[in-house]
Amino acid sequence: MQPLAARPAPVPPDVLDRLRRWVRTTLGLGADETVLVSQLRCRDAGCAPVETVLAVLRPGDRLSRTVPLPADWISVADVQRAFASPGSDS
Amino acid sequence: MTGGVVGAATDKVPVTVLTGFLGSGKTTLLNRILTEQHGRRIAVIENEFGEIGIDDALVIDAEEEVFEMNNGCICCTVRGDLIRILGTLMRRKDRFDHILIETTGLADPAPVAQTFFMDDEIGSQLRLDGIITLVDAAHLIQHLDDERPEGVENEAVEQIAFADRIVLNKTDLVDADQLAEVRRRIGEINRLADVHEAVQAAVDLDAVLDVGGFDLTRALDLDPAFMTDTEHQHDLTVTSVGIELPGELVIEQLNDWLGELLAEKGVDIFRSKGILAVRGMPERYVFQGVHMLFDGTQGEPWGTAERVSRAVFIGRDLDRAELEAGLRGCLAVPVPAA
Repeated sequence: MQPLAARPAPVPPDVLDRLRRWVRTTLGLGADETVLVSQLRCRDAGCAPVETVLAVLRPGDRLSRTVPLPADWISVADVQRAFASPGSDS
Repeated sequence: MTGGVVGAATDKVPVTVLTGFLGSGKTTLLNRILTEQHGRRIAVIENEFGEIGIDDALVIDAEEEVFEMNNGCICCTVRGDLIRILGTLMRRKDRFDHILIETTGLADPAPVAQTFFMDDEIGSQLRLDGIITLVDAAHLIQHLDDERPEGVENEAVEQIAFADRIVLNKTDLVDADQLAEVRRRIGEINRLADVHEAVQAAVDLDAVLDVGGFDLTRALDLDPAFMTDTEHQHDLTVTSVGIELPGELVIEQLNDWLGELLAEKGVDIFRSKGILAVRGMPERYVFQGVHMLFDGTQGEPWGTAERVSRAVFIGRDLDRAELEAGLRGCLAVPVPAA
């Protein structure tokens, strides 16, 4: 973790909307299920310079994946691939 | 790692988190805010069912949805219910110009604060203005001294530790000596927060709603005496440690030290704030964090001012000597401790 690393540029609203929509479509979510999108910069060995956390939050359940790309580089195929792979869900 | 931004852009809607132990006067303050003619349009999110009837209040489920986000380089806790209701609010944000979130008396402020760092949509449209903690002058010490089983947190201590501003309410119920003792106990835990005394929660709303506690340009409005105060508080679990260090710090070493510190002790560091003098950087480096989430930016140029770094940590089991040695170890030209 490098706390003083410059933070990523803010994610444009249309990119956030697009990512949320792709997560909802990929997982067949209802409108009341919360999708969190968070772009992070990490310079730890083994981490992508900028990665994006996609998480579904619902009572008693969390489904989360990290895509090793900036938010605006992520395609629908990346989202589908991320949620097709096993993750550390709770 | 940096989380989402809790910036100070003027077009973002400010959000105040109101916390405080049961019976501290939160409901009284809320009623004042909602009924007084103060010219602000405030949306209230509250999660204590049935306590007050407010037509426009939004109620989040008393059953908190708290999610741990452990993701390699990121570790924090967010509230899913809050993300959902803030998302709903943002779709009609032309109807208000401030959001107030009232938490239950037993809620941990950290997941509420961290939610603003973690979700990019919330971070782009809202800014966390400050955490306000109401305390009951007559009962605070009793709550602070309430012994808990091993591993169970004392919420009253945590709510004071997280606060940017404290409303010391019900001061009419204590005498001057008791009031001084309550203030002393608050100061032992949190030396950064301003304390405003009140009766019937009658505090100037400007002092509650425009705190700038998470505004990086105002991150270090510190009491200068605190920075040089070397009084040790050996018996306390939750304390404030202020460090002042002349000289220039090396960014690579700072990154290593802060990264290691937050990774190892982030759970115990509730709040951190500071202004650092970094070698090769003409501007002040301003930072603040909540647990492991950390945000920093370049502030005002130093100009001809002496380059002195100042940092404050509020948390559990903090080791002043270790923190000071850690920061001192980042100096470009090491200076031995006085």
